[in-house]
Amino acid sequence: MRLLRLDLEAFGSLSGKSITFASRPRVLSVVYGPNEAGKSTSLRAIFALLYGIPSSSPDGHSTPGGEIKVSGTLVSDAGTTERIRRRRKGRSTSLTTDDDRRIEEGTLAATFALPDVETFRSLYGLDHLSLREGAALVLDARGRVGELLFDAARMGPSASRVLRDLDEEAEALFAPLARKRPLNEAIRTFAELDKKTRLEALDVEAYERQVGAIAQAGKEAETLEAERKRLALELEGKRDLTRIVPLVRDKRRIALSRAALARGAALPLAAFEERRRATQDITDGTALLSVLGAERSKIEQAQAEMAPEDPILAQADIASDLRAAAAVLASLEEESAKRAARKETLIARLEGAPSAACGADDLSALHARLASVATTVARVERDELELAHADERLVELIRSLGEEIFAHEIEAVPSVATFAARREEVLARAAEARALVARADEIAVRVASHERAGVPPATDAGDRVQQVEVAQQRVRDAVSKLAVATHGTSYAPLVADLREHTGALDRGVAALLGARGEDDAARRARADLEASRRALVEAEGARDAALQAYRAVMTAHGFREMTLEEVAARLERGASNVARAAGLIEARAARAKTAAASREEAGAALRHMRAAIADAGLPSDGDLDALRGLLERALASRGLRDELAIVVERERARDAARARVDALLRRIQGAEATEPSPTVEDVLARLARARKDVDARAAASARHALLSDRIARENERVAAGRAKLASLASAAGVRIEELDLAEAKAGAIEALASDEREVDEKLEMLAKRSLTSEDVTALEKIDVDAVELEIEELQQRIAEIAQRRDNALRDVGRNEAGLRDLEKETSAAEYAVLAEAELQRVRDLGRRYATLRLARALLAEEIERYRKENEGPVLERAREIFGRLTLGRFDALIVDALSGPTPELRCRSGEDLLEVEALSEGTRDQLYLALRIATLEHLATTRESVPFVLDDVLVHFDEDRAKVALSILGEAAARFQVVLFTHQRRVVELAEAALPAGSLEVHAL
Amino acid sequence: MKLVHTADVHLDSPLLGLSSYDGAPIAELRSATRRAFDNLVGMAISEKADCLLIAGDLFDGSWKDYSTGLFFAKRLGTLREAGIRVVIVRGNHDAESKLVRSLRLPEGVHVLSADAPETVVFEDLGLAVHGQSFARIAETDDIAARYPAALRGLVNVGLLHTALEGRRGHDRYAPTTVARLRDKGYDYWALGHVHRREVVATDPYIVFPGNLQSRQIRESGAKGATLIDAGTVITGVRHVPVDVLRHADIEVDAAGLTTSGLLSAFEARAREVLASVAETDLPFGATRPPLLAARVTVQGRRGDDIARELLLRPDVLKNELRAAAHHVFPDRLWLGEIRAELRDAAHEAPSGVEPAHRTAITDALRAATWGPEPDAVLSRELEDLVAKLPSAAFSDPEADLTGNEALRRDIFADARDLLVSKLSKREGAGS
Repeated sequence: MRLLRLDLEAFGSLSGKSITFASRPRVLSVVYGPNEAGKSTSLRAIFALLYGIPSSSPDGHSTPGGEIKVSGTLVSDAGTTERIRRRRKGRSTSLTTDDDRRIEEGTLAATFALPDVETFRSLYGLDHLSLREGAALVLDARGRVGELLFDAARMGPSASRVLRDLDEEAEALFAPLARKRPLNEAIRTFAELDKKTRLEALDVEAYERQVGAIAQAGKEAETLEAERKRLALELEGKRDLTRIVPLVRDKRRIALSRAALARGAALPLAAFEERRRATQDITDGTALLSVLGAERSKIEQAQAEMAPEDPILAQADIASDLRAAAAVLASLEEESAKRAARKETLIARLEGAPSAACGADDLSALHARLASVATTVARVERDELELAHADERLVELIRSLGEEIFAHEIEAVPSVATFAARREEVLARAAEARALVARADEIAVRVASHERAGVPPATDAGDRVQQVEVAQQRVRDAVSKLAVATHGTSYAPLVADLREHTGALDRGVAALLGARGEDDAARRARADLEASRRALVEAEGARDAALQAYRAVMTAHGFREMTLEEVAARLERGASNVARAAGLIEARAARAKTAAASREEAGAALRHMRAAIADAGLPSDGDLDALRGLLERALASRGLRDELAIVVERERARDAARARVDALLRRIQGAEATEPSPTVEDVLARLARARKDVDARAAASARHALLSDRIARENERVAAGRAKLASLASAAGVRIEELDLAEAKAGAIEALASDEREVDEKLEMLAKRSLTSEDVTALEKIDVDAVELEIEELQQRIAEIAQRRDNALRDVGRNEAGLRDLEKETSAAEYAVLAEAELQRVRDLGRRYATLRLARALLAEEIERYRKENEGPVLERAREIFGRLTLGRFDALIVDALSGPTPELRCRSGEDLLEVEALSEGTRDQLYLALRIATLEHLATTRESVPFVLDDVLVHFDEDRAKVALSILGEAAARFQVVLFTHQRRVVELAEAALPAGSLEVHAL
Repeated sequence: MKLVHTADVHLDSPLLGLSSYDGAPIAELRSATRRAFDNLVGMAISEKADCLLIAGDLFDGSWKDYSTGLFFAKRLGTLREAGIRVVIVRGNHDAESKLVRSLRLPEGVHVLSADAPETVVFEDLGLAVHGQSFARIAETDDIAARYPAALRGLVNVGLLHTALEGRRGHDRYAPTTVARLRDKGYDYWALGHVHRREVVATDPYIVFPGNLQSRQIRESGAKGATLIDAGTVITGVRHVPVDVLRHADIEVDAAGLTTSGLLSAFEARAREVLASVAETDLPFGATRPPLLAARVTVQGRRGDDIARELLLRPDVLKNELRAAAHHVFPDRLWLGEIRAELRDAAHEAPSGVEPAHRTAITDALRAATWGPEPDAVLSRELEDLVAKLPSAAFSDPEADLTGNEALRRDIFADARDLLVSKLSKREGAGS
């Protein structure tokens, strides 16, 4: 492929320029331009045409709209010609044909067999820096042919270095004999964890053994415990024997004592209590008889001394009625005495009082209705008073409204530029608004005065509300116009200008930083920067001047700075007060209407009241208070009359009661006519005394009878006691006086029996059964001391067995603790988790190690393959070029296949055979250039050619070597296009000298 | 009546595929399966369950630590004290397990016979459980075919360790069909063996509850048991997570991203995964997500910065991702595996176009393909390492460096991409 033409349509400083390359082979193209002429731009344009314009390209700064556009003509080795164009604007890019047909990148690459961009840069591009890097690769390869050839076919880190890196990283991971490398460590750690996992696992058999040991020890402990218990029982039996034998002997002794007492009389035990009760009855009965007899004698004497019964007891019923009648009379007489004074007062107060024709209830109802009417009238009067106050408030509000709205309006100053014109406008609006509110004020005052004068309020209230609302709307309009007047008069334009210039300044700085070297872009950036700075200064000056002008105007007119928002807020507040005024007026009208209606209702109610009072027979003229007084007095006199009637009635009842008492006294007197007439009190006292005597007589008779009965019963008790004692003495065969002795003997016998029972109980408890006489006989023969010896022996044996049992139990405990150790949850599983994680680490590191080792092997194989494929032709041509470039100092490149593991290159100079490390830096440059040109020539023989683009590659060559190099490049141009960029005029001249006519074209920028 | 259905407990089975690194929350992994089983027991008691059904694979077949069995027996004792009945069938792992053979379980725990189907009837619950344990590891008979017909008047549950018609990644043991199971007339089929939860059918319910605690990345998602409500019929079935560690896949598309862009994208994806767990799948009784063991897959294009970084300095990027994980979910997000999934860059030459410059080493390497030659080279290069590796390193066929063709092909691709990156001029400038 060759590049026939390059058109920098819009491409940095070279926009509009074109370069036409020779269409024929064997021509070396030299593009010459001194510094800043655009050599680098042309180089970028070639890369941009073939591989696209990068987003970071600096070549759009000076093009219209920032668009970058480059086009060119390509021809393949087979003669296919295509004209293509690339564009970039911002992020948008395109690749098209000359007639704007879109082309795919892959199609372009396939049509002209383009290598990828990295290969193109590294293999087909060469400048003096990459030539130096190539020389470094030569040194790095240490003469190894494969790597030298390999490195000549590409750029980047040397093959040697990559191989070394891979080796080092792999060995840092793992080495067969190392211990500290990560993979070695991971393998070792895994092995340890795996082993711990196995060791910590609880073995079933071990577990079962432990369980078995526990069971065996437990069984032994159980057996020993059983034996111990058996011996303990035996021991207890022996101990019982030592207690039984003395008891048997006690029993024998008691039997003997009882036999001795059995001779002679004894009182049975059951008779002890009977004897005690009989003796007690006799003693107690005798004492009581003495006391009871004395009392009965006293009662009999008192009965003989009592008076005969009073005959008044026969009149007891009449006397009872007399008592009741006398009580009623006393009560009525007391009441009459109390009411006597009240009666006089009532009679006096009723003289001249009004007397209504109706009852008290009707009078009360009339009084209540009158109170209601009075309340209604009072409310109407209060409402009227409040209305008067509301009017005053309304007037005040409307007056303050005017002040509120216009006090500050003229402070709304618009701006610097429009101040004068807008000021007049604002003042005019203010005057208009002030007049409107003055008018509203005036109307409000008139409304108030009319209403106070009693002019019906409702007729023109609507008009006035409407007028106030109009005023409100006009105030709002004034606010709105003020807002329009001041809009857009801030510093916004000035600030915007300033920002724009500052932005330009930033861009200028960025462009400067982005530009490399002293080229056009840098100069333009500097110019931009200066312009931006000037603009900034100008903008700041303009801003300061405007501010000063504004402040001067404000000061001259005595205004303080006030924001539009503040002015608007105040006016809004005024408008709101207008609305309140309108509301008040409407409310005033409504309330006046209500008050008039209420007054009418109150008058009608009063008229109805007067008619009702007249119907009640009372005078109905007079005001409300007079009527209310009249009704209250009528109600009061009605009560006094009722009270007086009650007093008279009670006096009549008193007189009747007195007559009844007299009648009863006369009846009692009739029965005993000989006596003078007694008083009521005398009669009642005599009756009481007669009744008391009767009661005393009855009580004495009852007590006498009771005492007689008791005396009889006590006599019987004493007799029975004496009979019992006689009977007991007879049964015991003794006299009564000997009963004490017989009872004592019976007690002793019983005590022995009790002892015997106690002994028997103990024996039965110890022997756990009743003993037969044979048992007792046998027991009496036992030697207790011998038994004590046996007990000692048993105790020793029991202690021994208990010790053995405890040992067995300790074995159980020990084994159970061991089992708990075995049963501890975790360990093996935990180690397994750790081992698995470590195993995964082994796998991960192993994979990385495998990757590194395989990569190294693949690279080594590839280098070797490349050497084998290319060594012959490339080295042959490189040998020739190297000899010419060194002006014959090195006449041959020799491959030494025997000295090392891989073939190595040696340079022959006369008789000397030098290793590449021994070459000078410049000679290594030349060796690398020779290898590179030979490689490209070899490539061009087998596949589509690619242009070889060199950028000032000969700066370190002296003139002779530069001429030779240019001559060799001219030869290479026969195989593929060679384009040499240079800023040195000398190179052009050397080329013209070195190359035959027609083999060179020079493009001056 | 409430039943709890679980399977594939695999007590004390270690979690697989999680590589240790400094700061990894490895302590959280210890006893994960035990704690999950404790959660199951707690859930059953808390829900006042009447019966626990275990459909096989209590332990790993090769696991020999008897303390695992003792732990299991103790927990069954706890269930017994709470009045919860337990019915178990043994699965393929249990048939292999020495633990199972020697383990003594508490009274009242029903381990169904391996000789023939057995039925346990709980009259008080109105429940009949039918089932048969595996007699051998590779049970290839359709043992469900021999299960008895449903008992009238009872809720009938079939307990079966099976792969049904076959499930990916699981041996085809006790094969049977859904139609066969339906024919039995049971109300619920409590299956085990498949580690992924699956409600195979709802009339009647045929359910794999999945394993109780995930053990590897293939078993991602919430793990737990199935809680069944039943009266005279099944009235409700729901999954209750009880896991203490959860595997999650976090895929990040890193095409065109810088390292910081990748970290941001990773954090965003990690937060999405966390939010999803927190919203829908919290373990029983938990108020925050369990420990997450994530596999991060960085998807990108060959040649991208991220792809190159992963190849050239894998540890650096991995450590940055781990730091980002710590930032998202401190100490609770474990990046067990970080891997790259690379595709060819879109701007490469279209297919069918022969590369023009095979002599350029990167082109030649890019074009290199896997085959017997590189395979032999790899084997040769790994001889030293293979000699040192423990046998366990080859136990997982998928991780076997010597025998897994796919793994070796991936290593070859990594090596090839690594070389291309190292030989490029950028690598030279950057290092």
